[in-house]
Amino acid sequence: MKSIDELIRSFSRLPGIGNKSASRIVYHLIEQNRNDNLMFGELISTIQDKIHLCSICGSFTETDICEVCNDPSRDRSLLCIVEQPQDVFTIEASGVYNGMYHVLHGAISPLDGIGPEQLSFGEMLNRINSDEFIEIILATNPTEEGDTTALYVMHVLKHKEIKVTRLASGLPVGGDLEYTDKVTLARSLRGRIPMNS
Amino acid sequence: MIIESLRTYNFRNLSDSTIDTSNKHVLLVGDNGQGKSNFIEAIYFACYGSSFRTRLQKQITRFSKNDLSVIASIKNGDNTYKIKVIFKDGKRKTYINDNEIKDRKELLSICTCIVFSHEDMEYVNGSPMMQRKFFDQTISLLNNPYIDSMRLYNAVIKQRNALLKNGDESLIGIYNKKLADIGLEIQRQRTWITEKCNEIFPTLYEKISENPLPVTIIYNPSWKATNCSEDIIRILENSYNRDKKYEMTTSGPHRDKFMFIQDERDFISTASTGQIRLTAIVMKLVQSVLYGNLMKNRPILLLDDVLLELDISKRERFLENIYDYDQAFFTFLPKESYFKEKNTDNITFKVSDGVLESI
Repeated sequence: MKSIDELIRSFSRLPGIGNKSASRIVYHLIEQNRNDNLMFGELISTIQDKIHLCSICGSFTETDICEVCNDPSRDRSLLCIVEQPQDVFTIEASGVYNGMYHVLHGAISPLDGIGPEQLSFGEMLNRINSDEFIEIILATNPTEEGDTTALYVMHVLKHKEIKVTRLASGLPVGGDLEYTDKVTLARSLRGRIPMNS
Repeated sequence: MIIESLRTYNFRNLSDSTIDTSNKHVLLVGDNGQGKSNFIEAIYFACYGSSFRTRLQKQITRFSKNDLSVIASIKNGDNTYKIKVIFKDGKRKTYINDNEIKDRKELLSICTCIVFSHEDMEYVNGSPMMQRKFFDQTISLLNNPYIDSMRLYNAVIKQRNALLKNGDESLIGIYNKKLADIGLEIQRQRTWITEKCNEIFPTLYEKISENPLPVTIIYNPSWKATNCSEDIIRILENSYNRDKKYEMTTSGPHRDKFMFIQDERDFISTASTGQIRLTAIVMKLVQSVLYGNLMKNRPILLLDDVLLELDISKRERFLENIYDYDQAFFTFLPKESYFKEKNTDNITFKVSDGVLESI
């Protein structure tokens, strides 16, 4: 049936959803309460009107300035650089970081036509020049693109007297050394930290 | 390690069945085109999730069929693993003990087989790319994380080439640094493997060929006289204009070469076909000896028709020099078997029209 097929195709275009999951979702929608569907449709169709980018950090927000940038209790000497708005929410959910964020909206990848000018490095530099950050924390992904992006930040900040750090990568907490893959283990060995200084 | 059994489904011309292969020597006897090599290929496929003869799934799937599977039971030390590789709807899935694995390199820690086949000659007299492939494969067997170094190197090269084509030139310094760091690591590993091979290859080649003039391997890296990434960055900076003109990185480990030298001259360009074949076979033997020495584990050998290519005396000397293995599969033409005596170590299968029958 045309309407079912079209809806299945729409769902299967979403990340992480294959054809099978898409058809399960669609059959579920057909069966479920009509009000739930209306509300769901409303939420989807208005999400882009409600959510926009924070004018300071570039994360998602419903107001002009996001909750983090607005919060006077946050530590304004720390700036954490991430690739995507989702990364802000992931770090926030951990509850261990109380500084500020800056979202680049991607990572450098010439293959995909993404260079520094496609990302929000200009805004980042303006913030670093005008605010009083003591430390920049690079939280880009440990991928080829994420590493390049981190190196680029290092490059643009090299003449500034500011501490730049990068998230550690290595053994998972609570994991078993025996079951760690060799690459992670090799990286942990290279990045080992002194215990007695 | 030992392959205890192998089950194939829609794999080339092999009949769908489970074959018990728990003997030390598994001998496959049959005329050409009956499926001996296909069985060898299926074992390799279970060990690595890929074929050594083709990259196309269609070629290994039985004619007019769309999906295939290979299931092997592999004993390594005290553990037994069930490896399953399936191709379905154009996608490959690999399982260890019924758990799907994301990266095929996880298979490397379970089972290592070394295949000796006619195609090995390409590693000796083929393109520099084929030669690099052989040495890279050997390093990966001994040091699995090398695979990730290679993957990263290739990713950085692609990005740098894209940058040279139409990118922000201010980024070139960053890619030079990245390429230098990862490239240097590859260069060090290739230098190391050349030294390791040279500890074994010349003696072994001399023993089997009975040619007293030693043959040695020379590694000829594209970046010369370099010990630190600063040297390499300088090379990359100097060749920037050339790279920019050709829109690609014109130097680096993807341009490295290996050479076989005898009496200070290039051995391969003047070697006979027989000498090239023997060089290829001995290089594979070196691979298995290095694996045995360094990994404290013994590989499975797959010998596909290679003995046919040696004359009788070399064949005997070759067989005398393979001992560091737990299990070996041989293919033979009828009446060609070199294992005359019947003992419990050996099992012989007659291969005919894809069917294996124990005799």
